[in-house]
Amino acid sequence: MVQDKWAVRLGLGVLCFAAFCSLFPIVLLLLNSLKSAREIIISPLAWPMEFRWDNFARAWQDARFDKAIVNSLIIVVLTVFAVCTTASAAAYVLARRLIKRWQLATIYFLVGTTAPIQLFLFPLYLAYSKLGLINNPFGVALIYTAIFSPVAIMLLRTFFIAIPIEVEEAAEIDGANAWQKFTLVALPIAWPGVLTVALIVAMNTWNEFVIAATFLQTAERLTVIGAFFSLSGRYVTDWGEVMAAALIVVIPIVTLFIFFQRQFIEGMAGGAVKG
Amino acid sequence: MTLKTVAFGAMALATLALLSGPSIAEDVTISWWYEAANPEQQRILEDNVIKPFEEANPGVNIEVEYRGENLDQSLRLALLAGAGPDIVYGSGPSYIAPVALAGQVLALDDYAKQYGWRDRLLPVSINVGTFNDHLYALPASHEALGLFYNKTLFEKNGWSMPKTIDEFEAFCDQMLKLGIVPLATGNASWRGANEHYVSIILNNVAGPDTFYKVLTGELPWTNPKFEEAIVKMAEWWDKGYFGPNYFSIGGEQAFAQLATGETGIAPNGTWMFQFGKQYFEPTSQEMAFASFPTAEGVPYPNYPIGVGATFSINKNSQHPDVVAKFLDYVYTKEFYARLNSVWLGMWAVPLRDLQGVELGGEATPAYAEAMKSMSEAIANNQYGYTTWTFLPPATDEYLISGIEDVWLKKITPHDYLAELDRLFSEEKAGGKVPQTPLR
Amino acid sequence: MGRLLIAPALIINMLIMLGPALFTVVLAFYRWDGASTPVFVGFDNFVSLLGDRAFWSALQNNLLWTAIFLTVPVAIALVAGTLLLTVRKGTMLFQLIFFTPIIIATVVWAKIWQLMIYSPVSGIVNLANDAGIPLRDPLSMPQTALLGVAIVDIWRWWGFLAVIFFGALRQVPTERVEAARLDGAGFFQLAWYVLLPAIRPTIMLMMVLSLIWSFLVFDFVFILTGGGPARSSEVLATFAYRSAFYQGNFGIAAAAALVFGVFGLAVSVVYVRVQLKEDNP
Repeated sequence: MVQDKWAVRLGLGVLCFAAFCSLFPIVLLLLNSLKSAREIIISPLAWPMEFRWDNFARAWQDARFDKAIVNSLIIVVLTVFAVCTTASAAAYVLARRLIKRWQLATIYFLVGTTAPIQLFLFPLYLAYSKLGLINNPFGVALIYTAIFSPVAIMLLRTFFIAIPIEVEEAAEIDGANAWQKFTLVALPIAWPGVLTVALIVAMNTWNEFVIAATFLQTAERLTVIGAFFSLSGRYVTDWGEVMAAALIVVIPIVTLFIFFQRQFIEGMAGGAVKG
Repeated sequence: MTLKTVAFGAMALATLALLSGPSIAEDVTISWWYEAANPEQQRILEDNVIKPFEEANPGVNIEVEYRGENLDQSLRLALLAGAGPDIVYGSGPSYIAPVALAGQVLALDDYAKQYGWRDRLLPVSINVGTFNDHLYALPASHEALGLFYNKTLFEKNGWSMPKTIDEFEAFCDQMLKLGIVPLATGNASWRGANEHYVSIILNNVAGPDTFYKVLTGELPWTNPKFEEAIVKMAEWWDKGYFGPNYFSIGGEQAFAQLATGETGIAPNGTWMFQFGKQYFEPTSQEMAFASFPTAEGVPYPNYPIGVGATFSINKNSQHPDVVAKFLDYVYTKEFYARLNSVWLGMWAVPLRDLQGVELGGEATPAYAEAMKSMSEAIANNQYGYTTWTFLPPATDEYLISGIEDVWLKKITPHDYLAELDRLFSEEKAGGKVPQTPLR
Repeated sequence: MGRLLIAPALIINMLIMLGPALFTVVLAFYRWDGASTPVFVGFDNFVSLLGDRAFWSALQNNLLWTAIFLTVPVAIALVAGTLLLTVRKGTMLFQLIFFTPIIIATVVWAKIWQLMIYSPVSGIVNLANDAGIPLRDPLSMPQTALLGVAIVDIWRWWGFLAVIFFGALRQVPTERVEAARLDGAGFFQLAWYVLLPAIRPTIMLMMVLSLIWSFLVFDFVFILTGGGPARSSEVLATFAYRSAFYQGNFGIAAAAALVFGVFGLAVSVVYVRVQLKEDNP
């Protein structure tokens, strides 16, 4: 696209600089998770003098990651399941305009994609308190389902719209009702979309902060994010350990990202653009 | 029913009653959320605070969670939801005020009567946990503000500890001439450090009697003595007593510089004794503690005293009696002696009677001396009021942030005090001021 | 059947979001600490907010934040996205790298920036100080605290935008590009006069989204500075959170939440309209 070699070189240089900026904190994370606190003060940028693998052992123990990971997984599985089922159903309804007020419902969910948590956080917390749902992973999964569904619905809606109506009409001629059209025809075709949604919801649930920090309070119930946050507030000067803990939190998502790059990028970028 | 049946029944019942005993004998777990503690401190807590109680009360298990810097926030959040730990270890009286007023912790009056706490603890300490005439919190430790100094450095240079404000200023000026930063201070790691210095200045320059009158509402914050004190504080800042790096170094770092002789004196609280060994041992210098100098008209020594942590019982605790028993165990001479020999500065439980208490282990002579001075001064009414103990929350918060505006010349001392007066009056009307003990 | 299918999603959503949101509206007119009985106070909370310096400061910070986010990351992302067009091999690698920050949790980035970069004890700032460069921790000074937080969030956000813009740019019909080239356009002219105008809808959309999301900012401010020092980096979301949970003043929190909720809603309406128009031209 560009002939001018000079411009290409400059452009590449700028891009490399930008990439460096994006990667720099990650490099800091990796390097310093293997250093002792004292070494971090002296040489934060250098290669570790000695590899302190014990940072990870201590982080694991002090943050009680064994429990935290289980907590996070439970909530992730519950949320992903709940979102994928309810959101795909809702998306199908909106895509095929199966209810009279489909436009209103679409607007409702669209607005829901951008609603600030504080708008409903306080009464929600108070209600949960009265119902004894604080420190309850099911309760938290319910909140996540509500929060992450609108985006999922909008995303899946475009997937369903993309399915040619003829396919479903053909099925209808064969005697399929709405439920069968949805489960036996549309869903199987749209499964890449459901996979994408599952991945994105899993990531957002794993990473989520405000709800996790507010609704899960005792050490038994913390998610990995809560455990990490708590650890970083306690071991204020053991930076090697904190970085090791951060790495433990990050690795699962990064791994998922590496294997499912296309889904993540298309889902998140495409979802934002197509709405 | 025959006589035999009745007899059997009675025996069975009696046996049952004997077997069940007091509820303490059942298996009970109570939870405690503590702040930050490094692994060694955690071990000390486990071995010296928790284990002896568990051993004396078989079946009772105390579980500690270390919440770190987020303790306050997590407590508030949890208490709001009716959850949270049994033992509520709050950051001080002004923190516990809204919690107490909202009824989230139990009133301790009955327990106090049962265990006789009002006789065993210093009256000052009982007062700070009292709101609306009910006792809600007991101070876990009391602390005093004073002056740490490097005794070795002083002896080497032939300096003597200034006792009056004039002597203090002369001393600091001399430090400046020698190129030494006079005061080892810094608030980068804990912004609240600001109020250590404001407390000192209001008490030792304006005088505790003035402060008392302000707390009871007799005088406004804008009284001439307070204004004089804050003006002086601004002067000290301008002269450079606080050093050029106040905002970028933390309290511990500044303290470390005391140990190496880079700074002259460190106005700070007795809780810093816990870092004494860590910083002074490597440099083989000796640390000492004295009262901060006083202005004319204020008796020397004068220690602003504070309470850095309080014990309360969660309203929703399943085992309030057990927690009360734990508190009773804490306020004993044995506990005091044991803890203050291993973990200095944080566990000076405010007992009235410290006769015969011998400190060993880690306690340095300086520490024992400081603790004794503090107790005596309190008994003789020669104490002052630390702002985090005796002020309500919003007033205290503004005190911390507003002094920076004074230093940086964004507002005048008068306006600073006027705003404090406004906030204080508001909170006083709302019942958020801890009960001020009589002088 | 349609109603049955959409019901679960709708019910869950209304239960968690709509219901409590309506309650927030009601709550704004009461004084309540969450424990005792609520007291109706009419518009007192709003009046109190209007007279609260901290509230205005938070609102100001939000507006400043939004202004920053509408411009800086968008500009960086456009430059990067456009430059990516010039790269023949390796665009996927660049995209992956640019995209990575957004998939990692805010709390992790906040701690890394706070402890490994900004900290005057353990971070790059310390390194610079040792080398004689007088850098300071921006988070510890009232004048720069918000900026310090913004840098972290911008850093996390722009890569995502860049990937989106690149995707849109790639879809610009090649005929237009060729035509411009034939007219003798250099690269920069090409970008300015042809490429950017061609993806204007995407740019507009991302600016609207940035606008909306900028009002939601919470995590980074909360974790990095807690709104301090001295409330200098406070935003409406942290103001509301603090009022509710640390000061026990739910009425004020609700009122504050309504204020920025209304702002967000107004922009959302614009966003919704734009989206619906795209669907039903």
